[in-house]
Amino acid sequence: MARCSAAVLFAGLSVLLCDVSASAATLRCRSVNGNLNCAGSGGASCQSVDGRTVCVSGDGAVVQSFGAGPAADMAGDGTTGAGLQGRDDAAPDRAVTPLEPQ
Amino acid sequence: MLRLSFAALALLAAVPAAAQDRGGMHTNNAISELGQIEANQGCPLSSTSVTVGVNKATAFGSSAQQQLGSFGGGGSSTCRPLVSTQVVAGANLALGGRSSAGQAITALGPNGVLATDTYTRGTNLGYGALSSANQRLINQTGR
Repeated sequence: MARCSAAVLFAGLSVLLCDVSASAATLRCRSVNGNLNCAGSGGASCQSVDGRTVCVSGDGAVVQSFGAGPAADMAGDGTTGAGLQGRDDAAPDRAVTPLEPQ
Repeated sequence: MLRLSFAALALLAAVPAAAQDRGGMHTNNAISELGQIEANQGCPLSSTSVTVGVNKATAFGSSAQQQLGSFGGGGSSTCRPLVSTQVVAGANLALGGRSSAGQAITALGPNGVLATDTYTRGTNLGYGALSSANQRLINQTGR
C-alpha cells in the first residue's frame, strides 16, 4: 500500500515536472517536507504550511523562508504529527539569496 | 495546461492514501492503552477529516481565490475520539500570464486519546509569466 502510494505520487510529480519543464525553462521550485512551491519567469509564489512560509521568485531574485512551524507534539500527550515528518530538502531555513543582476 | 491540472489532481489523490498508510497507532503499553479505551466509552472511536482544494487561474490577467475550512471533527472538549486523523491538501495554480491565484485551507480538529495523525501537502505554482501564487495551509489539532 505504501509502495503503491509512493508510486502514484512519483508518477504525478513526474508528469507535473515534465509538463512544466517542456514549456518553461525558468520555472524555479522549492520543496519543503514534500510541499512544492514553484514560480515561473518574472512570477512569484509564497506557500505557508502550518506557520512555515517559503517564497520563491521565478527569476531567481529572492528565495526566502521563515517561520519554524508548530512543535512536533502540540498536545503534549505523546501523539505525533505525520505532517511534520519527512525530509526538508530545501536550503537551510531563513536563507536569503541576494538579487542577481539581470 | 489540462495535463498540469490532472497532474495536480493525481498528486492530491495520493495524499489521503499515504496518510492512511502512516495513520493508525502503534501499541506501546497495552495495559495502559486498554485502560484509556475503557475510560473513553461513549466517545467516538475515531475521527477523520480530509480537506482538499484545487484553485487555478488560467486566463491571462485572471484572478482566482479559494478559502476552505474544516472545523470540529468528532468528539467535544470533554469527549475526544480514540484516534484522530486529519488531512489537508491543496493545489494552487496561477497558470496564465499575469494571473493571480490565492488559496487558504484551514483544518482544526480534536486530538485523539491514543493517537493523532496529521498530514499536510500543498502544491503551489506560479507558472505564467509575471504570475503570482499564494497558498496557506493550516492543519491543527489540539482542541
